[in-house]
Amino acid sequence: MKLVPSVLSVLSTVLAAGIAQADLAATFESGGSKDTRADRLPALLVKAGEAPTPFLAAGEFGVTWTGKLVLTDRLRLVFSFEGEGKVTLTIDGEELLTEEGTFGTAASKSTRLNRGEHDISITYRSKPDGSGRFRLFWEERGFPKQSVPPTVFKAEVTADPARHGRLLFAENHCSKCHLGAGGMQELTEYGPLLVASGSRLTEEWLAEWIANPAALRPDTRMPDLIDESTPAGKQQAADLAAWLMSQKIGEVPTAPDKALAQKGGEHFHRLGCAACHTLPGGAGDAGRISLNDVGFKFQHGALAGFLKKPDTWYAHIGMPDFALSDAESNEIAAYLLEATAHSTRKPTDFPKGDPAKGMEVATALNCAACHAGSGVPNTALPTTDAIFTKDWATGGCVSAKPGGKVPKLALSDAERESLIAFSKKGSASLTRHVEAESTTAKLQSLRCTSCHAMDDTASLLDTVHSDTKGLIAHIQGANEKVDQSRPHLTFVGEMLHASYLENIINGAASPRPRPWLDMRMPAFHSRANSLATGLARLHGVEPGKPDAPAPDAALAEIGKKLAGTEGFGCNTCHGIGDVKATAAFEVEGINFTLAHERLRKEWFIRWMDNPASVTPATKMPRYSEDGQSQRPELEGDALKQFDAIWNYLQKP
Amino acid sequence: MRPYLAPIVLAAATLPATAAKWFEEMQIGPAWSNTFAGTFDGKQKPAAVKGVLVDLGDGSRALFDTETLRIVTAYKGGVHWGGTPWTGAHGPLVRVANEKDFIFNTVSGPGWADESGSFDDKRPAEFGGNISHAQYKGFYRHGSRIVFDYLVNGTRVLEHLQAGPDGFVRHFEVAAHAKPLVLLAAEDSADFTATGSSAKSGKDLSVATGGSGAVLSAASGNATRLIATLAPSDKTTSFTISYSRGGEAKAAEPFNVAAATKGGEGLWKEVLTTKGEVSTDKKSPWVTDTVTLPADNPWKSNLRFAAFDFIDEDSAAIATWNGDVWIVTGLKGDLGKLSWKRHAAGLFESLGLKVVDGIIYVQGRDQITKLHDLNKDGEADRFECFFNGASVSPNFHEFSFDLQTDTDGNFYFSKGSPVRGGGRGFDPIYPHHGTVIKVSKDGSKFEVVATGLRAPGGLGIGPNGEITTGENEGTNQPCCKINFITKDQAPAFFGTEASRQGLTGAPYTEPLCYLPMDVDNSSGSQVWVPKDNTKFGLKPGEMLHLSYGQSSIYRVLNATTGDTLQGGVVKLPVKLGSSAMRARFHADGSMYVAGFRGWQTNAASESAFQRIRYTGATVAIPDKLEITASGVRLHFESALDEELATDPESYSAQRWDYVRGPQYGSGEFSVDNIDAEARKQALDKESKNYRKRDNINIAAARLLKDGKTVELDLEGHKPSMSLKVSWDLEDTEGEVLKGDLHGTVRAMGK
Repeated sequence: MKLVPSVLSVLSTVLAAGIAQADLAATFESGGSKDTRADRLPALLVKAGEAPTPFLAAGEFGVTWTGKLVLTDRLRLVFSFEGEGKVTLTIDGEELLTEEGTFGTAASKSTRLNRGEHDISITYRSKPDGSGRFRLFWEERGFPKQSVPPTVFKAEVTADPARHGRLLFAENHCSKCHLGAGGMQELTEYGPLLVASGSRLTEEWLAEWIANPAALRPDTRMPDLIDESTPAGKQQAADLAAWLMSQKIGEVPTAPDKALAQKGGEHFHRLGCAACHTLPGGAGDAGRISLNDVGFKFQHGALAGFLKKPDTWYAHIGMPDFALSDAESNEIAAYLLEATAHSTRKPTDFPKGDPAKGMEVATALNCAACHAGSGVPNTALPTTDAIFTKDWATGGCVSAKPGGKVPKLALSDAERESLIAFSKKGSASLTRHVEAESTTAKLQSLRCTSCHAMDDTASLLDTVHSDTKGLIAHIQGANEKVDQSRPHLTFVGEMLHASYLENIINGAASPRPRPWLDMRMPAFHSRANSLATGLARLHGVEPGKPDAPAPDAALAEIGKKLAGTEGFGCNTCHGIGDVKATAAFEVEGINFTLAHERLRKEWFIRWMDNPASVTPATKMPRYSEDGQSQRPELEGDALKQFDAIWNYLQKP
Repeated sequence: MRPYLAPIVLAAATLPATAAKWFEEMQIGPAWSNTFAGTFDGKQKPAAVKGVLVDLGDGSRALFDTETLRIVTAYKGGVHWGGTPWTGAHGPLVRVANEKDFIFNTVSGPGWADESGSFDDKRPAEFGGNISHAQYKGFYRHGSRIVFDYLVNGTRVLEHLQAGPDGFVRHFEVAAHAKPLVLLAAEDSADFTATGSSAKSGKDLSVATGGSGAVLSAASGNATRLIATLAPSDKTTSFTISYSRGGEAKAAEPFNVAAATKGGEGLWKEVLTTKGEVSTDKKSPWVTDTVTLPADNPWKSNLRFAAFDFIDEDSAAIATWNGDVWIVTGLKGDLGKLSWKRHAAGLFESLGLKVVDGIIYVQGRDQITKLHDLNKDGEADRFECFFNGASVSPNFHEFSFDLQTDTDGNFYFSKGSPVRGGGRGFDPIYPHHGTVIKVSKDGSKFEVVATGLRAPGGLGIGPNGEITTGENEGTNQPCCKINFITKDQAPAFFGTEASRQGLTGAPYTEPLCYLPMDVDNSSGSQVWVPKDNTKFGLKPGEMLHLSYGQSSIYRVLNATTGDTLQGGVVKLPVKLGSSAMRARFHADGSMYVAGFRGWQTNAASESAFQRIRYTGATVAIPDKLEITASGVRLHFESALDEELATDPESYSAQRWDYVRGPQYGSGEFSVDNIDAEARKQALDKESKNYRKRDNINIAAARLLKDGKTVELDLEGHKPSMSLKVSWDLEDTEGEVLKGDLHGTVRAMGK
């Protein structure tokens, strides 16, 4: 049995609904095959030997992005490209720019586009070796050259259910029993290790869980392998539970002191747990995970240990690592147990289990396929290739009536349809990992947008955080702090160096860039590297790290003046090393010493030119208007001044 | 350099051992008005909210509380720096370093007994405030000497503080009085034993009187308090009280205090000169000339100019946030030679200044100070307390903004609410927090004409007594806005529930318009084009709004329909050297703008004082807005290209609402598709990431017969807290007219 991360169910919900945000239809073509998906923005980075999409083989490819360019004002735009290959931009039927080879040497003529929707089409062709990179830029009198933001695109893209089906195939761990698939990164994700179950979980919960996983978590990916309506089935569940309880590592600490619960509740609110969980002891909702059974599932002394390091026994768990201190984990555990004491499930009757028999059942049910170390895996089941020759609609795990010993998966009808559609595409896509596409899916499945706003959509937490505000109601002035907004993700792949992004996602960024936040970015250790590079690739940016600082001394000197009290007074809100911001109020800015390791210059210029165009509600003032600054340095040219500040920020 | 002019050396251990901070080097002078904290019985607490810290010249200082007329502490040492205008910190006060080396401290209550002989503090315990039998009148400066001037039970008292080899001495001159007067001479942690002319505490505080008339005794019932009693006298009484901790106080001869009230030697004798910069731009309708500041002044004064007024056509008085008043001369003509004289220093966050009949009135957080130059040497030597009736709390954010007058000569200023450090929520509300206060011409009476303000950075008084203020986003304030009432609408409630003051149940007074963050994120003053001004390129009687945060000046287009106030703003195409905090029109028709950087702004420098001139070139911004039944009507000053003007594609428009509630600021909410749930949530939680503006289809654009007025039909035209209309037009000469209107729509006209 496996603790399937709730995140996967979210993915299903989102993809099944065919939700596409600010999107373009991207139709790829390679070797005579076509594949259409929704892209937030027209950008890509594909290396030679990599597949452009999971459904196309590696090799020379083309893609056409089509949709609408939506402008709220009339703009006189100059477009340009970055990347390699061959590309043509067409707007309202007029071909504006074509480039071949290495892009960026030409730009379109200034084109007046009125407010409203414009047909846009970008036709891109990779290099003959199948590698390619593309980004679309624009500039106007009102702003300098910058990548066209994802928020201006709109298209109605009908999602191909097979794409979702492929993810469901991985999510349901199909290839763990049906061996032979490999290449798609998600296939390497496993269920939890069970070797410490007896030191963490309760026997009653385990029996109940094994007997009917979906009864406890309707969105679970743990298959139902037992018919608990029969005495034999019940006995099997009890035997398995008993066996798992014999799997122990270390002593279970004592349960947390109830007196810590109030403090734990404060953490629960401040850390924004409501982004993924409903209020403990309260009603559940469809999108978030109820914690009401936490005291039933966990041995009370073990809960704090799980909170402190959720991925110890389950590298791919959805619950991230908040780097909680011992005190924090204990306090939160105390709170969760206390708050759910009356709502937690009561155990039902199971016969006494036999551990030895349980081990036999585990082998018979092939538990080891998903839970490494839980017996000998069965390698005799049909292979991946073999199952792709079958009709999934009429038999097997995916069909609505699997029957016999076939595992019962908790699939919705839409999910079955997606899997069936996928089965018809063949198994080749399971051999391909397309990092950008995988990252797009993970932004949803890991619930990134539950805490972070993206494009024009506020985070879920913005809506649901007030569910838990009662937990700090006893604290006078609890909310009287500087602005607690979390960073937006709209530009994140082109904002941060992938190296820094990886540190952030891995919980290794030190010092914290925003130490004033009550919340903290939790770590997704097993995903840090692929997410960081994937986010860069989504924006067509080569994942990288900052060059060694090499500021131009003269410019840096001007930049220092511009950033200081004599200039724009950036130090009012931004600290510089150990020197604190001089007068940060209501908001605080990130310490300048982090700029070099964090920021890509291109984004820095976009931000400096018009901060609200990046983060609409930011308090960061705007210092330029039509490219002109109010300061005289460098002929009053705002871009030159920002470049000088950039030079200064290399070594502030 | 005289010792009392030395900058205040920091008491040790509050800052790392790095180069001196500017505020450590700045010479403030012998008297510094501020809210001070201190250490009493080992505990830090507010010492005087309207205090004057007197630098006694030998490294010792005395803090005089102008509310209670009491010496709060006399000690040797400097201060622990704090206070937003100094360290920038949003929270901690400047704290006197009296924790160790103090001569004596008095903890609270009146410094003088009332007519019944009682020292009882009858003020509300939570607010403090002025004491009815003790009226502070200000102080005189004689060289480096400070002489306080006040009335006790109607009797005038002059008090001068001095330090020297013999210790700390208070010199008094008390006018004739028919009843006894009793003053608190000292307090200590052990009982006093007194002999009439001298006293000593069990902790070695020795006190002695000199001159005549004062008799020392331990207070009955509390011998830790030492009082001095003056018998009734039909003539002026001069006496002294001397103090020595650990030594023997010696009776001091009275200093001729009255003689020190005639003005004395100046402190800032050097007159600095700068050369202004005059724009040579002839194409732009408005150009900016710069009155160059004497930034490198020998007193290291941080010149962040925050308020000004003209004394005459050639000179202006201009005040800094850190309490200076300077007089700049040479404003007529080409600004080729500007003379700068430091006229006064040590005022308390002087964010308002008005010159009336040649006299400079400075609005500080503690009081309106009337500055007199008794000996005509260019420096103020009488700091008269003109009005100090407003309560002051220890909160750092209780800024007191602006000073304007109406045609009857009444003064107006505004006070912020006591916002807490993070900008969310408030400290306890005092009686005048978040108000506009109107003070009679003679300073004897005042009334509250508006409440519910949060951070009104400036205000304006219109030609007919209209009262306007700016406002900043925060609790109950969804965004910046322009409050506007006619004088008969006072008192009005402007929205911040915590500072409703007496206006229980009063409806919220909607502003003339709301302004999104990119238009204004922190307001300055409003200023009206004088009725006789035909030279500035705007119409006489028009109103302008200044944005401190965006360093911008906006033309306010009042589009009131019937009785319903509404309107919008368009930006004046001018560039400023710093923020736009205060503006006034000069007799020559130009407008001067002073700005500084003290909190968040995009200001290009710490401060600037500039002249904006109209060149006669075409004004490309509209001068009239009407809200019609189907949209808006905008009038431009030049004939428009018909093809562009009648093309709906030349325009764009958006509308949205805010949610006004207990949360900080607001998101932007659709008006066309009301999301009731989101609006409800916004009352519960900050919503600023929620942004759903409605893009409005321009159904039709018409150019009216005058060739200068465009009429736009806005699809779904309806009231909204924000309406943005943008245009991209050309005039008949081919000049591009591009701009935005930001306004509020409440009522449809014709």
